[in-house]
Amino acid sequence: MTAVPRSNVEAQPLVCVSSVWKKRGANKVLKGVSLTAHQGQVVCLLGPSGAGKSTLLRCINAIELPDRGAIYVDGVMIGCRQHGNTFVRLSESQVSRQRADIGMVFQNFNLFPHMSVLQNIIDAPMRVRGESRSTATERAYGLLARVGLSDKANSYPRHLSGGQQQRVAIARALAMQPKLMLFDEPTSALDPHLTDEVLDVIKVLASSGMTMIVVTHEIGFARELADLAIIMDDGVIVESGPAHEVLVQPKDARTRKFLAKSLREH
Amino acid sequence: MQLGRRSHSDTGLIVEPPHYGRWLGFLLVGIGLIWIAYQLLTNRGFQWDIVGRYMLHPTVLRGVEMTIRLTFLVMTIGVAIGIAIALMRMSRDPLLNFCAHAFVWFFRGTPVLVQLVFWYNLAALFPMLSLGVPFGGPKFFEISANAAISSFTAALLGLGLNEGAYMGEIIRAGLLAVDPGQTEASKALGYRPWQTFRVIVLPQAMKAIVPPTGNQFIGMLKYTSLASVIALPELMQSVEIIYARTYETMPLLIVAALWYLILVSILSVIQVFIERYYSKGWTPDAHVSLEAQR
Repeated sequence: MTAVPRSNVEAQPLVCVSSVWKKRGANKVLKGVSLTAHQGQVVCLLGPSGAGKSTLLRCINAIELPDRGAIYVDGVMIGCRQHGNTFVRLSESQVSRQRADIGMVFQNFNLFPHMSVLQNIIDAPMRVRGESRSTATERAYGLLARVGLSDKANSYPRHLSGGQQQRVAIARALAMQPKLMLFDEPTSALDPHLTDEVLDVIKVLASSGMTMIVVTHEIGFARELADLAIIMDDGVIVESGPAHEVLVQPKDARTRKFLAKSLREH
Repeated sequence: MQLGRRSHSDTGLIVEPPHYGRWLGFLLVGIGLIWIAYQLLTNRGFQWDIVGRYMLHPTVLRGVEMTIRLTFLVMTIGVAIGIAIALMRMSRDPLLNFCAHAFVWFFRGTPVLVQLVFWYNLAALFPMLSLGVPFGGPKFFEISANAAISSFTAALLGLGLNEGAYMGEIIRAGLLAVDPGQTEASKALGYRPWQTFRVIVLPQAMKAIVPPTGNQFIGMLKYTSLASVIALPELMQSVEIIYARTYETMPLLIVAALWYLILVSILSVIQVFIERYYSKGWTPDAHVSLEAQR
């Protein structure tokens, strides 16, 4: 296992996953997955259900812990510290400091139902970062304007549509001013006409230079947006490269099969 | 058939079928209520004048005060133990898990009455209570069990430990009812484990915890009457003291029953308000006022 070089700041990838293994029961979910993402890149993870895409994403902010391998975000090892040749897990409260810099958006939105939209967005900056209410509120209104929901600040999540909830969830993640955004199938729980309003928000975010790793089934979206497309199947990466190559002229037979199937369904 | 708009009056009106059974029910219940009222007013055995005389008797009022105090203290102990038990049972640590299981098994498996008498007679088992190293090591602190265990402390221990076992299960069920996605989302935002529990999980669990806890509270208010067997002067023991002297058993039992009914009614009203508070975000009105957010 080699440590990430710290000397050349320009060349250092923002995210570096190196041969990560993860077992769940007897089932091997990840079998030695490695990837790198550089500052400002948009990486799309694609592949059939059960390929391990979401698990990989959840390992990057240590919501799940891998069995082997190392993950670095901005040069910091996530979830562990190195001790000789082995990695020792950090305590939950140490890991929580690391997670604060990594935004995550979930398939099921996971807004806090007992808090209003505004409270959802300002609570973590205040509680975790120690920001004042006025600073956090000001940024929250800015973010709500960006996702087109300025008039919903005092609504409760239950009264919003799925697309609106997901846009609030994106605003909530951005309120922590993360270095990296992770999207776990952000539109899978949405109707087709609500999908677009969420994808539009993500596109604007990508053009602002945010580094993003997106698990998605939207091939068209990935083609348009991704710098790097990674196709996973059965716990391994079967093909990766520039999106316009991998998603247009795939070399691997499994990628071709997956793309053909996905395009038929959409 | 003609399609298109039809006027309001020629569209078929939908009506309820007649409820003959309900009218019969009204009649039967009415007769029952009249009979009860007749008994209450005419049966001399109730001795309402004596009930009236003892409702605000100092001994009874002291008993009411003791019952309220005991109920609140026992429930505080019960909720505190309950939270600890629930968290221990939900942790992945096998030792904590075992301890919580053993606690619930023992205190839920033995009758409260037995536990009350047991704690009251603790001196028979351990004449001296001491804090120190066991198996003959040095003692830092020592007190005679008879001095330490009054009927009040025995009641607190007996009722509180038992209540803790039940509250543990209620709180655990409430915590399990919260979507695991909520924990994940709060972790992802960088909340520390304690913040995740206190700010995200517990407030949502309260929606499921409050109704059965209200039930426990009301149950406990009446269970405290068991402490009369260890001579604790709560409401039941107070009226027993009086009717043992005056033989006015029926009217004094009515005094106790009325007081319990009054206290339970007050608790029920409080419960409604607490439930309303924790159903925030689930109510049908789409907007909250700005004041409510502060």
